[in-house]
Amino acid sequence: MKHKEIALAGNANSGKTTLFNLLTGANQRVGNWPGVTVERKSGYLKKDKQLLLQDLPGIYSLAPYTPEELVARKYLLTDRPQQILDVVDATNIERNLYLTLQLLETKIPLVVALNMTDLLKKQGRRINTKKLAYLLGVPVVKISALKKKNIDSLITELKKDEAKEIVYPKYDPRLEAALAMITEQLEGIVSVAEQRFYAIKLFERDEQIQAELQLDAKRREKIAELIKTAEKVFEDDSSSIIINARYDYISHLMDQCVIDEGDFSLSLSDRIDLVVTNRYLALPIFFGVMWLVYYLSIQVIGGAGSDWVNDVLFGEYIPDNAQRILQAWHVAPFMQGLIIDGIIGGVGAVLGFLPQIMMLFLCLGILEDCGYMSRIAFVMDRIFRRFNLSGKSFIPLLISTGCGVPGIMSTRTIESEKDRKMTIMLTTFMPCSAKLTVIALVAGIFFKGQSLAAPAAYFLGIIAVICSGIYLKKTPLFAGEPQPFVMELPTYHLPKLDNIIRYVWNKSRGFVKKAGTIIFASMVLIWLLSNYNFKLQPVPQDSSMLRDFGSLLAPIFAPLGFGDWRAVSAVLTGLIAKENCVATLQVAFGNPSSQAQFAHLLTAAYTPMAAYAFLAFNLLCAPCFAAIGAMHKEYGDAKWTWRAVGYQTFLAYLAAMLIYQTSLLVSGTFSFLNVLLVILGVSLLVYGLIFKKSYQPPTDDLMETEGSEWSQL
Amino acid sequence: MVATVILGVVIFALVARIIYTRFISHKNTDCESCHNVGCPLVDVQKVTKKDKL
Repeated sequence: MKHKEIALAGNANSGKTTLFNLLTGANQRVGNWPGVTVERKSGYLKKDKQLLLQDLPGIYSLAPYTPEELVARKYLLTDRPQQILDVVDATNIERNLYLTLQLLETKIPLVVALNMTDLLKKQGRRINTKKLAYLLGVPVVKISALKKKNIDSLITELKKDEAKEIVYPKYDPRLEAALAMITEQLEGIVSVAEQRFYAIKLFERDEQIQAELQLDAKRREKIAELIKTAEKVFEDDSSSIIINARYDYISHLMDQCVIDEGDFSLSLSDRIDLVVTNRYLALPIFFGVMWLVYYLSIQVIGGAGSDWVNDVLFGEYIPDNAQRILQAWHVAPFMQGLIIDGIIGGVGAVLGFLPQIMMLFLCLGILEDCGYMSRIAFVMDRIFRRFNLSGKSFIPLLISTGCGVPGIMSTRTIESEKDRKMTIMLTTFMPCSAKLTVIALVAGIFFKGQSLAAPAAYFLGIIAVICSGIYLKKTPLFAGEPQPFVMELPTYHLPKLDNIIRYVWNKSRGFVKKAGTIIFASMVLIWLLSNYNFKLQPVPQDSSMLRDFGSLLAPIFAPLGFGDWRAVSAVLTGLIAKENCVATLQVAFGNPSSQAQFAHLLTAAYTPMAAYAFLAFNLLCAPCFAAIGAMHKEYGDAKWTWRAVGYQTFLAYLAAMLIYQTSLLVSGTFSFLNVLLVILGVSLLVYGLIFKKSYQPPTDDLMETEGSEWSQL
Repeated sequence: MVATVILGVVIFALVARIIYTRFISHKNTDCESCHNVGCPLVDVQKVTKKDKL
């Protein structure tokens, strides 16, 4: 059975992934910011398994500027799908048609899906689809992927076997003459269908295409001469000539097909943006929103659910029934201890946070789906730019609030290698769902009723990113100008229930699965370590192997306020998975039967600020093994991975130490050593952020670089 | 005694399997495990095909 392969192309945020999910029934994550689709993904059409859809990354052109554009262009040119489904955002039609024109140049049969047409009315705009289809020479179907409108008509169009012959858009006659002469030079080198695309790319002096075609010197000279002549005629450089020609053509299309009824009127989305992205209000609004999200998730609604799961489900129901069954089966006491105190106690301690995790992702899902999170990246770009950072680095951070691994991988969208490496290093500072268990534990037990405790952890992550960015950008490893950041701000819309349910379901399922696998295995090992000595004899926890391991490193953590073997063991096991921090504490404190008893034991062992230092250290230190593995994969180098892990652990230590030692100073109970540590920590911070001079590349290096560029030209 | 042995074998076999798949064979690490939590970067078709196999 032969499949018809259709490429799904379009600008970032034009609704491609939503349409892809709708057509294929796939469960792809729909992100309301660019860069969600870094690699292409495929799926068969739900209603016709002969049609294979390839979801390409969101792109603005077929120029090889970004990794996304490279992925898309390579696929279109080398694999040449039978058809392209071009998703055009009707609310931004001018810019979206720029890509459409380039797709037409590939001469691959095209169908235009004019998406988000339901929003046009609010914009005071009408589009004559029939006229647009006539002028472009391809079918144009009005749809709304989000509201599932007119999808059947689009499928019917895709199923048609005989695709229309592509007619190239014709530009200025003088440009057309030059392109025709370049096309002549390509005869016998590329197929007739591809000649137009290659001619334009050669005219634009696309280096990759030049290298790919390997034209002989005579043809190269002839083409260079043609381009120079055209540049003289137009008094512009060749790539600008093409860009202007395309926009002139689009402007002609707009005149013919688009009617604006309410010129210069602001849409509701624009009016909301005037407030939400306002220079002075944006940050306070963001802080307010995130405070509310964390307060609701951890201390109010999610907290109530967690109390029930901890105290009733894993406090009474499951352990009591398990004990009854194990006793009836005459299971040995040590095995009963392993199952009830180790596995049920440890895994239960993690699963107890499920209601809070679900609530947090429900809130974050709503914020992302309605379009607010994209504004945060835009707002943060304004702040990041002041410190030589790019707003593009903030998108991986947003993705990291779910899991650090995809956050690290999404750094692939950052073109600058230095910025990419730095972002990989900083991405895991953001609290992921695993770290949320530590935040919830500390905020719930040590800071009950204090609504700022949990959101402060989120902001601590952001502050760590900004401060690290300022410092690292001054070092030779990361010095350089920030990359430009262009971002599509989607129109605000009401969050879609199935999108949010899918988001919460995926995150919660992953959390439960992790508790049932990696946390389960960790708990078996931790229970054994905390109940046996090195001679493998059962002993109280105070004489166990875990105590010995923890005690060995405990002095290092004493300045942070938690130089205690149980907390240190929790930090170490947290490297396997951050949820282990909570589970290890539960097991190390003898698996107390209720949350109140656990809280009592913890508050007796640590002061609130020591607990917050513990939270800060776990938030910022080396991430779990899975994230370290992802870092290694992205760096492709063990040295860089160690460098990143070392920096993260150092910063975590510094932050935790400052939190604890400063709290001692403020409380009035301090020694000379406390003062010394605070002075040392603050001096390091002040030097790194303020006094350290930015690295300037030596003049010789600059000359060499310039020389090499000239020689290439 | 029998129940203790059976439970011991089951629990430690599961632990060994998890350690093997997560840290030794790398079967369920990085991208693929992230598919379970909704990773945006994974090729759905590849994973579905693999699951079917």
